[in-house]
Amino acid sequence: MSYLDKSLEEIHKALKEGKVTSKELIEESLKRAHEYQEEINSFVTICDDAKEEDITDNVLSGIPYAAKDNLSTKGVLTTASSNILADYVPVFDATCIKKLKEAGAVMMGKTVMDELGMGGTGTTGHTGVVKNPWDVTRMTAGSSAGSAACVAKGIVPYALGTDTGDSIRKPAGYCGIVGFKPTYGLVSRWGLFAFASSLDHVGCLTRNVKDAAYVIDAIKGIDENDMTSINSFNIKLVDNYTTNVKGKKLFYIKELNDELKNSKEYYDNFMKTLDYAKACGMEVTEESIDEDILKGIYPSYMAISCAEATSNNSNLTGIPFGNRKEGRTPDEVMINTRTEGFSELIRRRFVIGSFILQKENQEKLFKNAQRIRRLIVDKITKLFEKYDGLIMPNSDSIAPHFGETNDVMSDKYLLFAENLAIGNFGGFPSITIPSGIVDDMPVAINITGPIKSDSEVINIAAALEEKIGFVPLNVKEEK
Amino acid sequence: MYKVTIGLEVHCELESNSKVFSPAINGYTEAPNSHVAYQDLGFPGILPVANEEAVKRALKVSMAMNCKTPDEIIFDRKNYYYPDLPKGYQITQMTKPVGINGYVDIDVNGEIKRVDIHDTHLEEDTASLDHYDTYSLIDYNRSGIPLLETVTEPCLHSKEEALTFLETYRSLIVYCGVSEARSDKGQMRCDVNVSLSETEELGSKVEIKNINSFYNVGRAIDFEIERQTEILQNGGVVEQETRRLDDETGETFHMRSKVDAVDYKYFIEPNIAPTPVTDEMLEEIRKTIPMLQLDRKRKYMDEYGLSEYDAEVLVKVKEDSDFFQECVDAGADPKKACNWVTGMLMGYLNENEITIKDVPIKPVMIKELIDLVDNKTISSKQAKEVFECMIETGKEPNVIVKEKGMMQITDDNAIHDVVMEVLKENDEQARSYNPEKTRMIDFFVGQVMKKTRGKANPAKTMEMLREELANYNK
Amino acid sequence: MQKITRENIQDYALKLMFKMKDEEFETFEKEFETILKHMNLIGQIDGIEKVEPMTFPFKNTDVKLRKDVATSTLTTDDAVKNAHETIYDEVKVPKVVGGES
Repeated sequence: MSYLDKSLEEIHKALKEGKVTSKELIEESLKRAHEYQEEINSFVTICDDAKEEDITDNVLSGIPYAAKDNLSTKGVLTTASSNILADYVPVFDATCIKKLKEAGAVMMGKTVMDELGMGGTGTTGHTGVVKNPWDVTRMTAGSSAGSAACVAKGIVPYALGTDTGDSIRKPAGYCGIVGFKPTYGLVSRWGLFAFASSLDHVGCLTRNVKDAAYVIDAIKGIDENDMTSINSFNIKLVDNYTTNVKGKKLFYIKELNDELKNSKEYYDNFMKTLDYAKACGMEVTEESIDEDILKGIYPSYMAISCAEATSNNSNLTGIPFGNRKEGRTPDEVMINTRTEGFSELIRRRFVIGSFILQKENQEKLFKNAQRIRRLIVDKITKLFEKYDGLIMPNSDSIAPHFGETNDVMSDKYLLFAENLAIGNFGGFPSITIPSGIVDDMPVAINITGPIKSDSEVINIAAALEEKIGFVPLNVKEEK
Repeated sequence: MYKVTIGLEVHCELESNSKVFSPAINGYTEAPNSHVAYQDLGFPGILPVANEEAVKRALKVSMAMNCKTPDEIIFDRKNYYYPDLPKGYQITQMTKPVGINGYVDIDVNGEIKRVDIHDTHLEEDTASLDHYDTYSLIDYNRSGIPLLETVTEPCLHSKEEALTFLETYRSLIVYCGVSEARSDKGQMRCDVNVSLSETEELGSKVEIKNINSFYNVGRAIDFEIERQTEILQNGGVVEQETRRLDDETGETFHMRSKVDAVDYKYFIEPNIAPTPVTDEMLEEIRKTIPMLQLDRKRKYMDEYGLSEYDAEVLVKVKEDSDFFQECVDAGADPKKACNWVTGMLMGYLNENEITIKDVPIKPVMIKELIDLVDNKTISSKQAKEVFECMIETGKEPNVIVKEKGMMQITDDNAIHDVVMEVLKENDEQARSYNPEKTRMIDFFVGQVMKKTRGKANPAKTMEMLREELANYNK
Repeated sequence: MQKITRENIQDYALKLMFKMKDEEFETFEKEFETILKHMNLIGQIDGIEKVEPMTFPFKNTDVKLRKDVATSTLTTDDAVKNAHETIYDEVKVPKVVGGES
């Protein structure tokens, strides 16, 4: 097995002992990136000029990683998978990128995403569809689609992603890897191309829980460039890492579980995971939440995220930067640039977002969505007084085939459409780990905990990971 | 005649080291796009970080206008598209402005009028556009400079009231030390609402946007009153609209109608976490708010008995007024201090086109100078000479008097000795002394002065000579 | 609440500085009805109007205003590097006439 397929600690040890060099790892990673690009299309940019780094005591030093293409990288094309930014080369680094540079990590590529982060299929990027490495006839989900695919395929040990509703965790689940979105503000959003600022998080996709602890430890920290960032000197994920979670208390939501009963295999997998939790010495309890509020998550997520997105993306006019299309007046320039620069889905979302924000609609639409948000967050926070975490099925299905689903809003009241957005509403740390295989495809569960309990959430996930014993795709294929 | 109602929205740039949401320099430069940070061009991934000093300065003005301050600082987004607005929204305050429901008293020809303030809020300026024949150029240096926008209630009823408010507001800003508030530098800009009505109900509101000087505010109001009066007199209806002033003709012209009003889709800026406004913070700011122009003027007239004219001259520039106040606080008689400050001092400053900060003179020196005259150490004529030296060298008056040997001889014995000496030397004249002939006594005074090189106190010398001459012939 | 017609959808789009194509309206209308239907349900939740709308995920107790120090390192070259066209370090656009500001 190549060192590239091992855990970060193992790779670091090999680097320290001189069994492999940073240069070899990078070459291997770039080789795989090119080799699988046609098959899974995970990259917008592959950095063939990526240089090796000195090996220090930092576990990430010298090891290649990939970053989602909505993270600002100085001197490296950053498109957010949109035509409107097809030629945009930022002049500054996102804080998370800067911190990884300082840790000696080597960025080897920028990953494909749903255009501007506003999609959940991995099919709307301007450079084409991302395919699921487990089965290329299936999607990865999104929006951190390329990040999930390249980690699952073994191109890099980890990738940075961003998460506004479930954009790290959903594709992680569908690709059989770990996806972690820490507490809101734990990682600075400086340099993250905003989708919905009050819901956006930077996080990571890895092949095991401890790797996620290493990555977040490296990129977290209060940032003078982000007023919503938080002080986290006492949150040390690696230092406090343990799989001893005896006595921790988890709850699951009765209404979600009832809905899951319709899909027996997923239900069984979830119940089995609950058994593992108990086997780890944790208490697991069922709690009921008003179904009207649960049903409100999906529309209120859509309302809030579209509203914020329409404003956040108003900077994309082709004037001081961006892919300008000519016109006779500045208005024409903006209209031509934005009409050609955005895909239909994006334009639809912006019109909806703008409608929601209009003076005469704001009270009924935008503010009511923000009110549901508070009801949900208050309810969950209240439950967190009794519990250390909420355990949920990551999805009620395996990765769909292309064409089975799209980004058109569903008419049905789907409890599972946006259940992971609970973590974004309250800024709660939330981690998704694989929980087994159904129909030859990975399924996953999610642990969400109180704000700033990132360490506990990591540890609960680590304990479950140990019990589940899931074999990642890259390891499976090696065998 | 119709009742005129005017409301004002005044934008004023605040001075600070850095911009309101970015760490770029807030200051003038000739070089385009050189005072910019990532935020000021609206690059993807930027976040605003609110400037503490800008917030404090805005709160200071808010409190100086007796506004209610918020419990926390938050901002809102005002969304619209324009080439000078790089983010596609302006960060401003709508939900919780730095001040609401305040008032400013103005003095309209001796009558005090209370102008109600609807709100005052902190926001960011836009980029500036330079127009050429076929294209325009954008310079982002102005983008993100802190702006304070103050909105009055529609409670002004004449051009004079509107302009008096603007002057008073400008002085408040300058007195608070938060901006030079110069419209010639583009630091102050105004939107004016004018409506005419026959009844107590307000008429249709016509807004004239973005006026660049107080003079032009006056022209716009004049023009609108005339225009709207004519419409109403002809039985017409004034359309609610937004207009613009043509600086050259002084006429206003249509910009957009009410039906085209822009919906700015305001919502709370999610990137700026709320920061609490504490009582300690407000108290600290309150301490730095100086007594304002009108209050000072009242004080000078009522407490110090100065004339309205003198009081007005003194409060025109805050530093002058501060200087005068320090003279009085040091113990100088207010009227005498006023004479020195408004006379010699301001005369000198005006003549040299400088300000009080440019001269080395200190208030306590004026007090000392007044004392030297009062206790007859020097004459008023000499005092002027001392003042001139003082303002140029910054030396204390006592030192100057000594250096120039100006000290009057006020010691009775010393003067007496000289008087006796002069009488002896001019025995003949002394003997023929006649108190009726005033020229005679002048001769003796002249002799004493000659001997003392002018230092003998003239009044004392005269008194003594009279006495001795009267005795001389006995 | 406003009624949705093709005309005002195009009008909203133009206010956001883009155009919608004819074939795009159908999906849009469908999606729009969906979100309104969902949101309608929210409006019926008992006592919803009394809930304080939530903007921030939680109260950030570490937040501080920025000290007033000018520290930007963005150079003029970098500032205008991504602009389509510049003249004398300024960003060029077709002539701006009237309007906002």
